Amino acid sequence: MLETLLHYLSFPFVRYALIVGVLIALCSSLLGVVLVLKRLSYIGDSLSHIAFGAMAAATALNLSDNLLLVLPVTIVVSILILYSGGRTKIQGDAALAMLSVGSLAVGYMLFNLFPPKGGNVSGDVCTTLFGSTSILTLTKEEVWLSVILSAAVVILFVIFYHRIFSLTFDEDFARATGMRTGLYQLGMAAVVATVISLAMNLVGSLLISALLVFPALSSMRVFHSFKKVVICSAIFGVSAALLGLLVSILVGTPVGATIVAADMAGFFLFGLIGLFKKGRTA
Amino acid sequence: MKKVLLSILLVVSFLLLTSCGDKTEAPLPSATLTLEEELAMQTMSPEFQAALDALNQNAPTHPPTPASALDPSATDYREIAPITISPLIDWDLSRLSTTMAFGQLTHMLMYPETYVGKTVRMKGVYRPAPDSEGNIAYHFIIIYDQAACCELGIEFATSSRSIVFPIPLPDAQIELTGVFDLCYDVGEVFPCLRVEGVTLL
Repeated sequence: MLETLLHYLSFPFVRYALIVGVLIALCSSLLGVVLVLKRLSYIGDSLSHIAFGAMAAATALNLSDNLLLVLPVTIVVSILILYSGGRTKIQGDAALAMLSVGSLAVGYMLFNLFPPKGGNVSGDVCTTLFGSTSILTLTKEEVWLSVILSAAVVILFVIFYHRIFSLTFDEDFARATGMRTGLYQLGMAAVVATVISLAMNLVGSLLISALLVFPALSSMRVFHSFKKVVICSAIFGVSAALLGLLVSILVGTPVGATIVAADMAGFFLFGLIGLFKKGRTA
Repeated sequence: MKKVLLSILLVVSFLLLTSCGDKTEAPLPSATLTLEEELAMQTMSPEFQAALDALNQNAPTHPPTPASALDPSATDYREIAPITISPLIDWDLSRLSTTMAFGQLTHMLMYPETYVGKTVRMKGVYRPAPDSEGNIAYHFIIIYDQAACCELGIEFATSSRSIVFPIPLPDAQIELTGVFDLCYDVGEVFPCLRVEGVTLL
């Protein structure tokens, strides 16, 4: 098994997949803590559906790089959802549901009306929704772009850690202390959209929420301070992504589903650890 | 604490950015060779070099290109001189998992220049395609991804002008061992596999 793995690691596309997969998982798990605590867990799913619609539009327009359209559209919608808050006529979960299913339907229709080059509509939809092999077919330019964007997200998270903490737990207090909460929310919305656009390559549109939610929830089972949850979430997310990727290439299972299965296994394990810890302190 | 974390992050990012382009780590066969170097390794004939030089000098808008990268004298990509298929397999996709085989074939189709002349073995499904008169004229081997929703294929043809292999039934499981080639037909450039026969599984 080890020999096979070492042989597989000699393939360049496997190394690219591991690099990008780890970075995306790291960014997703960091942001996931904030989204889960702010009760915005479902935003990942909605934004990913919107990104799917944007990707279908990019395919219809024959754009050489889908991210040229996907990234700006997802960022704009993310800002509209997260930043506008209660200032719209259609609010909260209703707006999310509308945008989410609408984008999915329009995206699938566009894929059928303007099939991608090669004509394999079901394949491209399946790959985009479930991320079966897109992480293994990255070009060097896509890898570099993912590395740069992921590094930017992590650096921003570290620099603005204390402000993110304030914004997560008590936005009103943060505003009262003079923090420009509107600006930080705008930035957060853009960062979430960026991570989701990148994560579509790893696990596909339908499974992105798992990357955001599972690491945070698993960590919260065991740890109860924000810093510990963030660090544990990052380690959990990266480990699950790495394990999922390696199992997928060794056994021949879909990449996205295997990563999510690893996340789920980790969640149950951390749940047991949490119960054990609770039993000991009780 | 934040400064330490930031410093660690900057160092890791720097290392990642500098090490990704490192070509000294166990390069794959011909991973760093240019197309010209690759072709020169396989086809050392002065005539081919002269033909390439003439192409580069004259450089019309759509210069005539050889029908096959392995046999520049061929006028049709499906009729090239016999090629000896080495018993040493450079890329054995038949022993990889479905995920890896699909990923590797994708890489070969995205960067065909680096694989020209390499001996490849792969397992897949046979798919024929007819010509304009309805006769089976083109042969493909298809590999599916793990979810069986995406498929990738590559055309295969005999390298010898005289050998005709027995045609399998459509969707039959087959295994091929052949030499990777870059074929040119009606202005289109596409990868193809030169085989001597087809093995039914």
